[in-house]
Amino acid sequence: MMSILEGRFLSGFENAAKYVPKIVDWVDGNRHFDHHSQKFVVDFVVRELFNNAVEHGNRNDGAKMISYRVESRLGFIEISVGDEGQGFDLEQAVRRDRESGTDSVRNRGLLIALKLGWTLSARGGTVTARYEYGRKGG
Amino acid sequence: MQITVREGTATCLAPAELTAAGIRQMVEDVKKALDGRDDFSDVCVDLSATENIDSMGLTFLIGLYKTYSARGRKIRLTGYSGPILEIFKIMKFDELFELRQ
Repeated sequence: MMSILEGRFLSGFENAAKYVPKIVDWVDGNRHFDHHSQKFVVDFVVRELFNNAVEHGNRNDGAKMISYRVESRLGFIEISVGDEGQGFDLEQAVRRDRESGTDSVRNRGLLIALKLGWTLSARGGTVTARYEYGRKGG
Repeated sequence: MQITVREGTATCLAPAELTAAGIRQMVEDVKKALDGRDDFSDVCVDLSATENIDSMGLTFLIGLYKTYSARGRKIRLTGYSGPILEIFKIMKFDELFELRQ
């Protein structure tokens, strides 16, 4: 069975913070998290996708929009967040994050998502995070 | 962010959401409470109320580390949840902070 949640809102950290719990609760309603850690991780990943869109995609321009699409299926969950930016090279961004030191955490959220067992892909101004249940942290 | 100084330790009580939307205010709170004071040798960030964190929240903690370790203070993180500890491990925070769950 497939469920989809979609929406859009004006870019900004404050606006994004209002949508994070709505998305997490929706995912919980579909999947019923077994552990608090699963809810925490989904919350973390959604925040990082939104942070990336606000800061890097829309460059803190509050007049631009952010869109999201969450797809929940039997074996996986997929969260896509789009912005009005030009898009970026995801591999290059992750490589840069890996090479930065321990005392530099800025922009490392996507790298953390990878280490939590999510896969990431980027196309234009949309970044998609996907988690297949049964893998690490699931 | 609630901040108190007692017996040589500055304790910062982190909020439920240590995330992007609240970081600017937290930075201001810390500056207002601790800048110019020399009556503490340790900084303790109490994360017992913190349910969620993101990379901006992690950046805030790193900022505290950089600011106060440069002034010779020790920085301690306490009361964090298991999932937050997982993030700390990924970030190798044990190399920077004293971690005490």
